[in-house]
Amino acid sequence: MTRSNRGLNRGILAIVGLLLIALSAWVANRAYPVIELPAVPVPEGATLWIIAASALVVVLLSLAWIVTRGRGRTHAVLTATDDSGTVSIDARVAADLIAQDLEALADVVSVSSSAFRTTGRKRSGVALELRVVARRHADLRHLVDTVTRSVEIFDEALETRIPVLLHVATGVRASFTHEQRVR
Amino acid sequence: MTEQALYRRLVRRSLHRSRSAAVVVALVLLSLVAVYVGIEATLAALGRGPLLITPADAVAALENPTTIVLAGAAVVAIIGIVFVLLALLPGSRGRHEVPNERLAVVVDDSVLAGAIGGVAQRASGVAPSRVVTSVSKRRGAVTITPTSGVPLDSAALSATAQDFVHTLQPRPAVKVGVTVAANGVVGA
Repeated sequence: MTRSNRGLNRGILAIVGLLLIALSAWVANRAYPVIELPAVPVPEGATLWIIAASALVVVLLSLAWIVTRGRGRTHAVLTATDDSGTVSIDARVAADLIAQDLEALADVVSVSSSAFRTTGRKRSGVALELRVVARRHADLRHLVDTVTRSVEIFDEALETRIPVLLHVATGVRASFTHEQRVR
Repeated sequence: MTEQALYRRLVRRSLHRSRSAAVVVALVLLSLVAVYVGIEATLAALGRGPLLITPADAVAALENPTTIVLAGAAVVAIIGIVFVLLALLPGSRGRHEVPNERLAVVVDDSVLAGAIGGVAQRASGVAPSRVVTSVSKRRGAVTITPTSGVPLDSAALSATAQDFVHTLQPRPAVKVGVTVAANGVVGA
């Protein structure tokens, strides 16, 4: 989970796609004329420089867009500053605390976490994403309830309420791990 | 932003695939083409020889396309259509949201299928290996192979499974149907 603007991503894909379709439609129309299109003038002199400059702008904008993808990840879930200094709590601490509570559940294969910055008009903060890899036949309700309880304990310990996204997944490891069953 | 609004956004972003990778591919392709066009334009403006083809020859080739140019145009059109489709399709990730008071919860469809299958398995009393469950965006399908001579009531099992789904309230809502296979098997 990052802060990338997904609507704009789709917009760029649509624009590039439509440009490519328009270009090939132009060429196809020359081979099999359907509608009358004006001839493209042969570029000369200043036009060539304009083309070169536009190409440079396209390259720079593309590179700028590419390198700004995936921003917003952070390590610290919570940062508190007072007179004596700054305390920050790493996302892994949260995952470890919650993983400890989930250890008792045989259904859970692994717990991992990542923190990312969220932006909003009124408030920007940090949200925590917890990824719990479960076995296929996990008791989903029990698992979610257990995580909810440990997050509430975490809330109390930190005296604040961090937004948490819980993602229950089945990984490749989960499907290969032998299911433990007591008959 | 309130916590509700933030959670709605986090869940929405989690249920759909990001188009970042596709955009990076599209922009890298676009940049490579732009670099080449820029180089040829600069060389022509300086009156030097071309790398591959002069701008004038390139325009002439596009105005009177040969079979090879047409084939290239077809490939370009296909790439363009793929990009437009990527821009328009929802890009669902095969996950459902499960309402919760404290957390934003998203669950892989395979986890949901496992949970529903587990309920149907316990209700039917057959071995877990004889229950196959799949969950798609709005539907869940459970297929149970019964033990020969022990009939199973598929309507009652469907109701049990559906009740379980009602307690979870996954979004989008999932309608579950339990099918009991016509031929049973003997033993576990």
